[in-house]
Amino acid sequence: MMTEQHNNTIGIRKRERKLLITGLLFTSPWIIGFLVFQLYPILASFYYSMTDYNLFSAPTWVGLDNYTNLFKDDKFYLSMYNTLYMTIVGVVPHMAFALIMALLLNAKVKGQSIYRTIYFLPTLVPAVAGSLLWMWLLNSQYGFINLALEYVGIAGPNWLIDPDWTKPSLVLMGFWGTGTITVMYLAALQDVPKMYYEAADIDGASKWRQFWTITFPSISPMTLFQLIMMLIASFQYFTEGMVFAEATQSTGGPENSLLFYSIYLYQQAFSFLNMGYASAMAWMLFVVVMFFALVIFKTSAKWVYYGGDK
Amino acid sequence: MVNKAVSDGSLQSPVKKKKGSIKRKMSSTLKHLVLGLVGLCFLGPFAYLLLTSIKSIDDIFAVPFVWWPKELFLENYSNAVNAIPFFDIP
Repeated sequence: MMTEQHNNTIGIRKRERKLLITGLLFTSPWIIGFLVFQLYPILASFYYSMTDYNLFSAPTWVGLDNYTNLFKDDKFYLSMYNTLYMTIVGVVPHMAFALIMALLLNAKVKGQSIYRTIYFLPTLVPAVAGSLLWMWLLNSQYGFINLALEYVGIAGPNWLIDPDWTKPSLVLMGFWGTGTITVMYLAALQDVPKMYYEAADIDGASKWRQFWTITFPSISPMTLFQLIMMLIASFQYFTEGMVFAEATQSTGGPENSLLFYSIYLYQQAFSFLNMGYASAMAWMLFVVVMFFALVIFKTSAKWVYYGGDK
Repeated sequence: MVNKAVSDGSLQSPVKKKKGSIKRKMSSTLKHLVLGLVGLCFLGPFAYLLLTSIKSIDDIFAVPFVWWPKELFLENYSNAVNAIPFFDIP
């Protein structure tokens, strides 16, 4: 190979070029797909966010009007609040719950695989089917949850109709779908070297102390990953809110308490046909998610520990 | 709580090991209790789904909750399959 390169560089170049073309041809389905179905729509939406566009007539240039109007829109703030509510009230408790379940499962518990299957099972239910099922469970008159609460003497709230309880209902339902996080945390926990605990045991560290000085730092990369993924998912919260709003036959649910950012964006785009405004909303969401993701990444240096470092 | 294998370590004195085994049994029972309870909560909706699927409309809306329908209402399944042309190959 080396001598061939010295003797015949032109031949090799030809070969390299041929290899490059073959490689490009093999990756072309993805490259073309990415350019046509991802990059182009992304760039187009940026252009449309500067225009007034209703799908039927040609877009007219309005500059930054869509963005300035956004900050005057009450529903924009409301939908942002609803979405942030799901992020703040939803993400951390769900992760903490999943971690506790993973910790309980991690110790050599009999029937670990059975429990693991049970906790993972709900994540296989499609979002719409799961939401419809939970709407039945949460029904204030016939639902099982209020019946169970009544049995112990608590008058359950009107989960799906009371604007104060619609979002907590969704958070409650969210616990049912934490199986993925549990399984991934379990995998991370099983990677923590046992010798750390042995050493800590000899030194007489309590289990609580062991968790915070060994377990938590060891699984922190998984926590970072889950936090970022769940943050993005919660900012795009859509399906469950859309289905739950059906209880009041509206788009935003009772008193717009379920008008999440993505739902409002969808409403602007496909109910009011304000494509330009919706595009501007999409870019605002991108900026906000990017901001939070960056903040988490920047602070992660302080609390995420990678085994190979230092 | 995190790792049971640790207490099996040969480095510990046998006295401590004996004391630990009672404690371990208790914590194991507690663990199963919590795991089982959460497991029940996770399986509950599936059970509800299954029970509701064999109930008639009257049983579904019955005000004292009906656990097991007096009469199996399996028409739900045939209705679901027939609602869309499921077996009609175009």
